[in-house]
This record gives sequence, structure tokens and C-alpha cells, in this order.
Amino acid sequence: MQNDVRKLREQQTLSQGDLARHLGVSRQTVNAIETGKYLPSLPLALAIGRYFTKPVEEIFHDDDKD
Amino acid sequence: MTTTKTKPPRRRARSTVLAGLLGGVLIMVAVLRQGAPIWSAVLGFAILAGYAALLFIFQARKDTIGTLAGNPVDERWGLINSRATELAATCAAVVAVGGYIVTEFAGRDNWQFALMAVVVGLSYLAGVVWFRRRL
Repeated sequence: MQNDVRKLREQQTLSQGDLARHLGVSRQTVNAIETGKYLPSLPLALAIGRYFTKPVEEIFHDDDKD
Repeated sequence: MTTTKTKPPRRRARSTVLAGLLGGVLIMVAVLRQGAPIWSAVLGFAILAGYAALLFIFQARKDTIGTLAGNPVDERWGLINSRATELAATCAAVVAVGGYIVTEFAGRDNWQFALMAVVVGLSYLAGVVWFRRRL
């Protein structure tokens, strides 16, 4: 599973800490999501999608898809 | 819909540290009352006090301290807490069963290991039944 969280965050010139505060999680958790080490729960994935105003499936996608 | 818990209050960490120190003192007193050597009483205290000291030393890292204090700051730390608990339970089960086998071979009294193994086994079964209904 890959995701575009880092790309979307950098497009908005946000730090990991900024995004973490918006989502109510720790900075390490944002980093773990971006590096693919941690797959967020459905509520957190929805919160990420809501924050970037994108559907979850556009942010998180299978490995074989860009 | 909320995705996370709030940050753990410092009071929670402080109370965990105090509980560790208090537990250590109680163990030390209990061991000394039995007339055991002082070093064993100090060891009993050191185990719990060491845990409390760990919490104190890492208190600047709220994520870690929150998890150690039993209050993970978010879902990932909750998962870390669950995995760490799982690892600790596995170690306890290995020690219980391994200790029972070793002491059985040595012909020594081993009811403590047997009791520990029974408690670990039964609590696992109870957990499966409970969480099957809850999750």
C-alpha cells in the first residue's frame, strides 16, 4: 500500500508536526504513515482525506498503481 | 468522529511513577519482614523503582511516556502498546512453561510455574471469548 500524504503535505508547505496537530496524532505517526511503515485506521484515513479534500482512495492506493 | 485520544496529562505519568515507587517500597518491606537478605529487598524495590525511573527519565518524550503510563497518545502508539503487551505475554508464557518443564526435570517444587502457566492460559482463553464478542 502506497500513499501520497507526503506529496500532499509538501504541496501545502506543511511540516509533519503541523499535519500531526491538525489530525490529532503524533509527528512520528505522520512520519510512519508517509514512509509506509504504518497503515492508518479507517477513521484516520478518512480524516486525512477530509483534510486534503480528496477521496481516501486517491491518497491511499495499491502498490501496483501510481 | 474522533481518530485519536488526547495527549496524556502529566499527572497520569506522575501517578504512575509514584505507584511504581510505592509498589517498590511495599515489596521491600514485605521481603524484609520475612527476614530475607537486604540485597533481595533492594532488588525487589529496584525492579519497580527502575520502571518508575524509566518513566521519569523519558518524561520529556510525551509519546513514549504516555504509552508506558498506559495512555497511548494516538492509534499508532496504541498498536505499539498492544504489540509490546503481546510480546511481554509471550515471554511470560515461555517462562511459565519453560520453568515448569525445567523444574520438573530437576525434581524441584514448581507449583509457582504451574500456577503462572494456568493463569496465562486461562486469561488468553478468556480474552479470546471476550474480544470475540466485543470486536
